[in-house]
Amino acid sequence: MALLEIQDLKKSFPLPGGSSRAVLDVPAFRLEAGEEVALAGESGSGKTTFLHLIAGILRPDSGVIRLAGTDLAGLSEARRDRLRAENIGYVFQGSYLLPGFSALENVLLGMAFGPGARPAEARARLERLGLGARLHDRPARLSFGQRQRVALARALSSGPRLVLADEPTGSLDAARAAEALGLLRETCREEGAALLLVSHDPAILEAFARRESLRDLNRAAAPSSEQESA
Amino acid sequence: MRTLIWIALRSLRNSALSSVVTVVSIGLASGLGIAVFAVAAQSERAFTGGHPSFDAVLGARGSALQLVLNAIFHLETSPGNIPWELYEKVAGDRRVTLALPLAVGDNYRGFRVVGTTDEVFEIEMAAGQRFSPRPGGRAFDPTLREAVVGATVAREAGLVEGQHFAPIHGVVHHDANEHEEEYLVVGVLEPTNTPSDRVIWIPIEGVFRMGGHVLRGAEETFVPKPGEAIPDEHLEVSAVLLRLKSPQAGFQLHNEFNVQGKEATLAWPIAQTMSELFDKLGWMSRVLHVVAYLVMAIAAGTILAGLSNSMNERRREFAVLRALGAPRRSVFGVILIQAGSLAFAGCLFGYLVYAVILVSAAQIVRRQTGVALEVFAFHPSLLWTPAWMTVLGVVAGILPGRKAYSTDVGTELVSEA
Repeated sequence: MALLEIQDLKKSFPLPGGSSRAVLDVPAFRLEAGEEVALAGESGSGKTTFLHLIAGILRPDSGVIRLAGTDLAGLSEARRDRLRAENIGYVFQGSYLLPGFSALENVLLGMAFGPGARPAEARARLERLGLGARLHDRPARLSFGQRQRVALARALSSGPRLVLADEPTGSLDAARAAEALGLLRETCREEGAALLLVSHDPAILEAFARRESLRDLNRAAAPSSEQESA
Repeated sequence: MRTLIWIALRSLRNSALSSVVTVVSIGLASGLGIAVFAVAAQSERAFTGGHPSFDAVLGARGSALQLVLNAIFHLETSPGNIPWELYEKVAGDRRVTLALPLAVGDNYRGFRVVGTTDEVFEIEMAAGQRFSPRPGGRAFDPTLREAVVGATVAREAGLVEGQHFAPIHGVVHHDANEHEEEYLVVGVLEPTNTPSDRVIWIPIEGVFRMGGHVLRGAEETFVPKPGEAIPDEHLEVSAVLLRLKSPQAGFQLHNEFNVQGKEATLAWPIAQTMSELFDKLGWMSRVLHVVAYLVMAIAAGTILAGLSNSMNERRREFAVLRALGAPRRSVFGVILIQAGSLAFAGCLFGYLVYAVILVSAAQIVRRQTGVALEVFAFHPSLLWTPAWMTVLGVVAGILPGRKAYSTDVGTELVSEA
């Protein structure tokens, strides 16, 4: 059984005046446990919406999103939240660390709504990423790279089966992007987590054996398929 | 829940200055609220508690309240005098078990000089306490110019055993009105926490014979001559404190003096006379209560304003929490916990504010009247004011909480690429 299985996924957003715009129309997509996939997506191609649907943050208009055997479409928002907390780690383009919390506390936040805060494990995870001396520093006192590593530790802190990475190296120069990407893939492999990464950077995409184009997957992304309906 | 509390408190720490300002404003409001209710209640209790030994005050025809204020609390001016013969008559009445005459009209440095009999030292003048001179002192000899002073007088006017002083005519200290007679302080009373602490007690004969005093007990005025006895018909007293045999005696005497008679006024019962004063001032108390409620509402408004102002900059924080799996109700709960925590911390600080206000108020009341408020006495407002303030704080958190609840994760965490 695939870790993630998507069938006939459709999502549109309302427009002023009562009309709506179709953003996603994905007939099929599969991701196996422990697999890593890079998804190419231009700006406005619906890649963030796609990840939010997989994470259960958004509810699809129709279709099936089956994560670890559970169809998200049939779940209440509270149960989708729970499923996300226990199964999904999210890495954003920015580190999106909470400024009032130390590095260690940010990682504990990643566990808080899933398995529960385990300080020793969070500390060990940060130490593995070379941040043993910065555990109690707030994000403002960390370098950009250190913040990215804390964000990575947070995303993996709940022991997720799937890591969603939305342009995780988008604002880094090439050298730092390569370093951050290497760390992300290596950590996912060590943890046995599947990785679904979306990016528009060819250099990033080329590093992955399995690459998909959201434009190919998403029928709504093609100009001809954009439709307005009352 | 522990997680939510942890997140809420960390977030408050992150905005420490704003949190402290909010806590202080809540504390001031809560402390002020408790103080308004507690001081009002304690003042009423202290002033309407009656006297441990006396049930009524008999004095000149006029205001019963003025009589009580003058004879019991040593405030106000005396409404006038009544003949000595009336004192003797009422003292001998079978319905009266104790009668203590008082003669007033002089002061020393603003402290009232009260003439009475040496019986005053055998009566319970404060709850569970007789007038007792501290070691080294004694009661005055009613035939000599001797005085026994209250503890506050000794402390503030510096009168101690062995010192002489000359009373001043009237209730305000003017050197020009100084009497020629000098009195020797022979005792300082142990503190009683009553208005008596502010009184200088001298023999009543001394008041009769004080230079410049004129007796009008009979129709004509009479000036006593040294060494000569004063005929009883010329004597007069300012008031007589009475202990009655029964409440029925009180009703009867009330009818005789206040309804049928025209010679004197009987203030009975003492506690009820003072209660009427507080009833008359009830509107002022209600205004203060309304002000206290408004101040508390404004303080709750500071929570609402503080949290609402931070909502915009915290939207991404809530979106991140939601992306990490926090349900909407948890994000909502974090805001409510923050609001409640601010209010609760404010209320704890409010107890300190309350203590400062009450101690200050108690000092002022004691300095002005001698009446001691029980600073640490329990009052229900000590519980319900902080409880309501906390509830109000939580309610103030609902609006910003709803904003946090409705955070659109998709909008806040959208990729910039």
